[in-house]
Amino acid sequence: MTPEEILLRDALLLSIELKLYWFVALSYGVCFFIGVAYLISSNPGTGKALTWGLRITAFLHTLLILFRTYEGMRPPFQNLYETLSWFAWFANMTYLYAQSRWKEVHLPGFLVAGIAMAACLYSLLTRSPVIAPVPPALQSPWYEAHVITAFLSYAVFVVSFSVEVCYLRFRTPPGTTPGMFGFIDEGFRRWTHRLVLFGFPFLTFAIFSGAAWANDAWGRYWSWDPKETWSLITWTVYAIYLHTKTIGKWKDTPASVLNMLGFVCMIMTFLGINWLVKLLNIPSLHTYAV
Amino acid sequence: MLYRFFSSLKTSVYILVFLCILFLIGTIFPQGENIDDYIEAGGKYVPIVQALDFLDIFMSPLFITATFLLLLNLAFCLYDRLKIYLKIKRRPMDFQALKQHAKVITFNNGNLTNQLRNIGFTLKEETEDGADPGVKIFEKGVPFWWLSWFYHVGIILAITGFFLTSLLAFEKDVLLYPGEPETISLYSEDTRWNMFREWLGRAEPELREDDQYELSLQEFRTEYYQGLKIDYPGEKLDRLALGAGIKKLEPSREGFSYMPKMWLTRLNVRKPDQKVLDAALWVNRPFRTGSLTLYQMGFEQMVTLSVGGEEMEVEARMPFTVEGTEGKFALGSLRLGTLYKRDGSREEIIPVTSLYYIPEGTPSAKELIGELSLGGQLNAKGISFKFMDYREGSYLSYRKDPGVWIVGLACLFVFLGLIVRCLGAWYRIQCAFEKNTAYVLISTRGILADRDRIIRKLHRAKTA
Repeated sequence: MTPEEILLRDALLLSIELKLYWFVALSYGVCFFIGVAYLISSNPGTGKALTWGLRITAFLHTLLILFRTYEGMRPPFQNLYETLSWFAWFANMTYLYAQSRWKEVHLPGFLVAGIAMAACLYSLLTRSPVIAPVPPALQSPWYEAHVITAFLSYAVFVVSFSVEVCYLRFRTPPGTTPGMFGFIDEGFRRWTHRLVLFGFPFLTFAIFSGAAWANDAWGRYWSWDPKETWSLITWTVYAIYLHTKTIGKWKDTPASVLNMLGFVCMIMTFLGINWLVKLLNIPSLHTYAV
Repeated sequence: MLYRFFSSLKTSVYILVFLCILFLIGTIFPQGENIDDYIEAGGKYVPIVQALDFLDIFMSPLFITATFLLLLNLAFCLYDRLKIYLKIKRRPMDFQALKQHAKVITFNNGNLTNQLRNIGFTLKEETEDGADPGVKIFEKGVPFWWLSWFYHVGIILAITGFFLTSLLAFEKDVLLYPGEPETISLYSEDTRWNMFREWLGRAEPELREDDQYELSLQEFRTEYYQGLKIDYPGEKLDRLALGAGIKKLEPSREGFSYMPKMWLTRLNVRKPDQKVLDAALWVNRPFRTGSLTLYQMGFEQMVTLSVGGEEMEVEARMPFTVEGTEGKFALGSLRLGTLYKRDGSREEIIPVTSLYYIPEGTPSAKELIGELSLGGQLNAKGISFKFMDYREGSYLSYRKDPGVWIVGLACLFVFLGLIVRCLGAWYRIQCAFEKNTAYVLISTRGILADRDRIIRKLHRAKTA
């Protein structure tokens, strides 16, 4: 192929990918609005439509990720454009797995769809989709392990947060008939704890692998960089949450507050810190992710 | 009283909350900044910032105290739990309580004990309760309480490693050019420990020859990828139009870009015992020998130009003046090495740089004059510039960190402990037999523990 042909082929592939990505974002948007309709109507059919919508979107999103992998000839998590897409995909998949274990509870899907749509739109509207070769600093197996486990844990925390919010707002008294949105009872709530228990070791590994990568790349495993420090804040908040779950009086409302605070910290680590670094003009080693 | 306070879980929560607040402060106030610069930059709350050392919060007495309290709390908790775990006695339930338990399952099978053994359970305790049938305790999986103990030990190790690093580690840079060996030492006066010794009035240890290494550069190489250039719109509406297929994505007219692939350094390392090692290192692939670790940080490029017939050596990316001319000139990065092309082929790049003119007083109005390849010539502002020669130096950093292996070990402890504790499966079955009926109560821990699967297995075994 001549260089001109290669450029034209790459531009064509990227156009197809962008159309598919916009369609996926739109699909999450449709799910979100079905969720809003479900919230207003509490019609079980609308709830089922929401879950089916998310299943179809998961399929489309998987195709998109496979397409991007083929296009770049590498796993797509090298920049914020790609990792936001991973984040939305992981969150949706985790939700669909958890939902398959509940009896006719569809409500958290509304929040998951909203967060996934926001992540996709942020990626599409603010980041460049152009596939760049991997810079030397990112060529490390630790980096790949770091990104995969970090986003896996973030996705799980998104679902835990959604379950927590739904429980706090629409809980049904124990031992009664299902409420407007199904059995949103203590058994359903236990999923918040189970999900955090599942995500926490992965978040821990994400921090360790990030430190191992930094040790190889910069010679320092920890620099107290704002992004590193916020990841430690997120880890500590979830560690506090797990401890409060074992303390009698603290395992209800205080634990719920901590779970939601953990979610806020996670968003701060992932996106908010980029904004903070720019706002306060703080030097950061993680500028490639900003 | 003190023991109860420090071995309490609530104390752990309070200390962790306090540490979180300190972490937060560390991301808001510019760390490592001088207080005068902070005031000059319009920094607020100066008296508090100064008193509590907010500009170096992670080495402040407040932070060290909080971390020390956490260490104490962890140590007390571990000791307290150890006492409990060593004395753990599994007490089977009373038969009547088991029989009437809300979650008890019944099997019409007197041979359940063997079936439990077949699926990996071991008998841990057994009681005979007078007239009632005896209750047995079976367990499967690693006891979760020991796993929890194990990763908390890992956290203590991690804090210790962090402490050693902050006290004893140091990092320095070295710039190597071919034919110009450099000697480095693994001793530094700049570690916190040595500064503390100096503060105490202790004499500095002498520089020793047995911690000196000689480094000589053999080769420094750069490699590039051919990157795709596409005119991707910055405007949000244009991006939406692209997604909707209203607009078309076009490749840039500028064609491909050069993206760095790798910077590689080959050097000889003469160790203190005079043994010479061949070393190769690149970004993300440090070279380690003994206590020394070398990292690839960057490079320096020096270009020999003939300016108006007079030879001068200038550093790429640094402005330089030419006598008799207003303003300054600068060379861009020198591009050379191997180019990995999109069509799969490789090409050796002819060394090339860009020449810029920076007008006096307006550095932002930097003007590109043109590209200058090795042996090539350019005329600018009435002066002729000829690219005569170049040399490249490799910029390395070296570090000694006695804490890193402890932190590595701690990470292993914490991760393994956490993953098995949180994801693994632990089961306890209490069972008793009355005539041909078995009463079974199952408790589980861990995400992968599946109570229904165990019940199914027991049913299957019965059927078989």
